[in-house]
Amino acid sequence: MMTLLGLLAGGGALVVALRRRSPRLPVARAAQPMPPPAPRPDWRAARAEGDTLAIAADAMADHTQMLRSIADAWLLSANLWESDPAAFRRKVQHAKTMAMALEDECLEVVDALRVLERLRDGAAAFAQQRDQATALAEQAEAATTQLRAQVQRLAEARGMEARAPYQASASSVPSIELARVARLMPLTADARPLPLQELLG
Amino acid sequence: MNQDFARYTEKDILAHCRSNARLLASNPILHQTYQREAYARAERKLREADEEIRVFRAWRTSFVGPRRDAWGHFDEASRQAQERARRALMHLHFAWAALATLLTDEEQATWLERDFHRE
Repeated sequence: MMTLLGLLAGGGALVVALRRRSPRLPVARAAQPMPPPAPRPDWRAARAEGDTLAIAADAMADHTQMLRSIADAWLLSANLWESDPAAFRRKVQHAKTMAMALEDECLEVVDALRVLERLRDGAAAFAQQRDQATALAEQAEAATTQLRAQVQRLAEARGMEARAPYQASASSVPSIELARVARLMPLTADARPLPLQELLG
Repeated sequence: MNQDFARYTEKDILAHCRSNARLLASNPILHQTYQREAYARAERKLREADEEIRVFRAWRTSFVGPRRDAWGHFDEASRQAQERARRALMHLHFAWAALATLLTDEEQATWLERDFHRE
């Protein structure tokens, strides 16, 4: 969900940048070399991916079209009486930046909505995963309880401290990855609990 | 006259600027007046651009926010259950490693075939 947080936070810097280069001071500022325009993924194409994305892409196309018109109008006024070719060219570049100002945010919206649509459409699969993971956890917890009880019985019978067997073996325990959990989860679909061998596998 | 400045060629730009420079030289006060009016229009356009960006962000909040609230946590229960299973398996490995040190090979084999119901 980081993208969502990011796009709510990433606000006013651009507007400030646009203002700072307002046409009152066009000549005083040195031209910033523009970074070469990276090819952008086209968020407009995402409208074909789903109902929510289609609504969003249409709404965003309206906003970006409006911004483009405003940038055109700005350029017309800003350059109408310009007599310095360098300043003229700078303002042409600036109008392009202005017209593209929402492109990154539109891409972020599309990314965020893709994730959300995937979550919505996966509700049944997520519920199944939850049930399988819960069954796996319960089996592992039940097995652990019995193994620990047996460790305690055997340690007591041998006059050992109950902690001793754990300390002796701690270094041989692998760390468990979520990938291993995911591999075991479907096995719980059988009504029969997994043997210890498989739980450990 | 074509005034799509974004499409001006280098030749167009030079001609445009030369013409304006002539007016600036011959009638600076008139040029200044025109320039001031044009810049005032440009300023208004900048404010419109700000406003359009603000409207876009308001739309985004109203569009994405409710959907995130509705769908954003659909995988939460599954992720929590998987994390619980991961921890449970780790504890099981710890317990088995400890128990194995106390068992013969035959006893270990017997244990490995057992399964466990929660009572």
